[in-house]
Amino acid sequence: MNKRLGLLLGLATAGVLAQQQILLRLPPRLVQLRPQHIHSGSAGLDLRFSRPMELKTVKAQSDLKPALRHRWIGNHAALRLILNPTKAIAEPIEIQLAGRDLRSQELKPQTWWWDPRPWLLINRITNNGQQLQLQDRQGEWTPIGPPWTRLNKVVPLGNGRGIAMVASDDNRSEQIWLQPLEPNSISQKHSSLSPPSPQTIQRLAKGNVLFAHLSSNLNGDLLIQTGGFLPDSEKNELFLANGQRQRINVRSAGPMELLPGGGGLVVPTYNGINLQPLINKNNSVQSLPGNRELGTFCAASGRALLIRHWPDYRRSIELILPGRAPRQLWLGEEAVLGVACDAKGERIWAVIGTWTGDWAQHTILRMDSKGNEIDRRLLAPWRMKGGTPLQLDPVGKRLLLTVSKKGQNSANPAFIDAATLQWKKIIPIDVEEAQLLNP
Amino acid sequence: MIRGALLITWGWIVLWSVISGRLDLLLRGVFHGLVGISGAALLLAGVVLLIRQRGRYERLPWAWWSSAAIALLVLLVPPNPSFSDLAESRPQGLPEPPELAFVLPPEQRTLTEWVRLLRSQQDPDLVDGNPVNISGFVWTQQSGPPLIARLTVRCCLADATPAGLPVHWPEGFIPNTNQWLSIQGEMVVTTRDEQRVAVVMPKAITPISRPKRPLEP
Repeated sequence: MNKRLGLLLGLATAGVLAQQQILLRLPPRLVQLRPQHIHSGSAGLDLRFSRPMELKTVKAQSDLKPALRHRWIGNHAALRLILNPTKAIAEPIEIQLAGRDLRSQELKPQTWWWDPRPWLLINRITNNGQQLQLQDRQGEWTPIGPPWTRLNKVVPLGNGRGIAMVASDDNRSEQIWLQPLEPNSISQKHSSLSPPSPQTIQRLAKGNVLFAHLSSNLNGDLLIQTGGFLPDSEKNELFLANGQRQRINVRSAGPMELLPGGGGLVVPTYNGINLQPLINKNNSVQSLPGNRELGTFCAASGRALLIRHWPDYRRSIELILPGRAPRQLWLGEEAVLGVACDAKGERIWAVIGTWTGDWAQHTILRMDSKGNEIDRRLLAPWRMKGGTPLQLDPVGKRLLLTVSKKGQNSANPAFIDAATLQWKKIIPIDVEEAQLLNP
Repeated sequence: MIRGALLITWGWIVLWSVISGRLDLLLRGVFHGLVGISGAALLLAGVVLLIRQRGRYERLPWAWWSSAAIALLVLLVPPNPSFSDLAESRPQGLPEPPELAFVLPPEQRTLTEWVRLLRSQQDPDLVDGNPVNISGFVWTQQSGPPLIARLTVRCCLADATPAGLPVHWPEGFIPNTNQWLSIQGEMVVTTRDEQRVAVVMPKAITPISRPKRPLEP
């Protein structure tokens, strides 16, 4: 009996020792590679390893082609690559990954391809109604989902894993749908990089609603605000990126917007706008009084642009910096059609418009964070379509907007160089709206 | 009779620790009620024992006498723990917060919330220039400059976990270990050991007394 026990104990000890030695000699592995949209640069990539890595060696031994300005951050097994190039990125990046873990075991050198450029998503006008389409890198258009009678609202999820939309039929009732997407922007082969693949479309709300508003953050969470045909039928539901659903009990006076970094939302009220956490146990709400609306968020830096409407019909553009009073950047009698800012709120763009007879004349401005005008350019003969966004593509260093010409019923997607404000491209295709979809 | 008196003494010490705030140095506030109930139970047990054994002489074993000596020491010597020493010997994995409230204005974030934010969001440039208004004790590490820190606990000091932030200490200012400071300033990003890190750049440093509840959840 004692012999057997001794043998068993001996075997167990040997097993533990063998396991320890194997684990000690096992090289680190790359476990996960995925785009990270919350960062301070042009593009970000999260890398998770099986072992805590030595950042210095990863930084020294890894390489990017083309050689773009970048930095590595993070610690232990989770590292992040942030691109901050001075020029636009015009092609996929080859990442040669190498380095050592904290036990000085070498990571097997490997090559990955990453295309951080966002995709151009359009709501295209077709003979049967409207259809979402994506432009691939060769300029070809790929349909995303079925044709619709009308799409009232299109919101790409911030993590690029889907497109939420509000569709309406001829009966003026609305339905909410989600077109899930499978991104293909990272691969070990250059040839495998492709536009995201559409998955089976899902209906997000049962039945028809009178109105619906959608908002998504960079984590891919989706807030759905709906109202039915009966009084007090307004409902707010949060669809988290992990598949969970959560009811949000907040009263608002208009469309609410999720904060890009997650955790909170901007709620319009009759007296101004409120900023509050999604889980608001302490009832901690920050209010900004005045007739203001949210223009845009400056990525996830906590900065945002507001549009303020004054009693004398003037408008102003304000920059919100964390912990400081809003900073007025621009004040004028022109309408503000769209605003955009970079991740740190250091560069701001705005499209403003004035009526000249029967046609609105639109101008694009570029400002710094103090409100100093750096450049301005007339969009004529084009003008920005009202209700469509002005979006910054930080990877391509360009602005996307939807424009139309006098006498033209439809609109076209257009790119403007973010630095020079020169037209880069106006795509001759009839659209309702054009937006960027994160890769 | 002496047993009863000793139980009453311990019951009183436990109750008094709750009332006087001494327990705040050991245990999270949510558990104080539980400790208070145990103190009251001890007190009650002591009174019952005292009534039952009134007038009786008993010979006590040495363990009871040493317990009495400890009770006296607890009463006479106020606790003065070195949070810095404790922080140095503890692992640094912060427990999950009860709720993330990073949408709060930066100057309303506590030191622990700052540390949690910076650990959950690794890109320090996202908080560059944010105002900071924090308080904590000076945590002197074996290597590297002192940090401003807090101890977080799930239950009590036994599971205390330090949360520290690097500070760009002004020239001429010598932070003393365990000294409690209130710091107003802003977050700046600097490169240390070839890594970008968020560092508190103080505009004002004020020595403060140890807060009533120094442990954070």
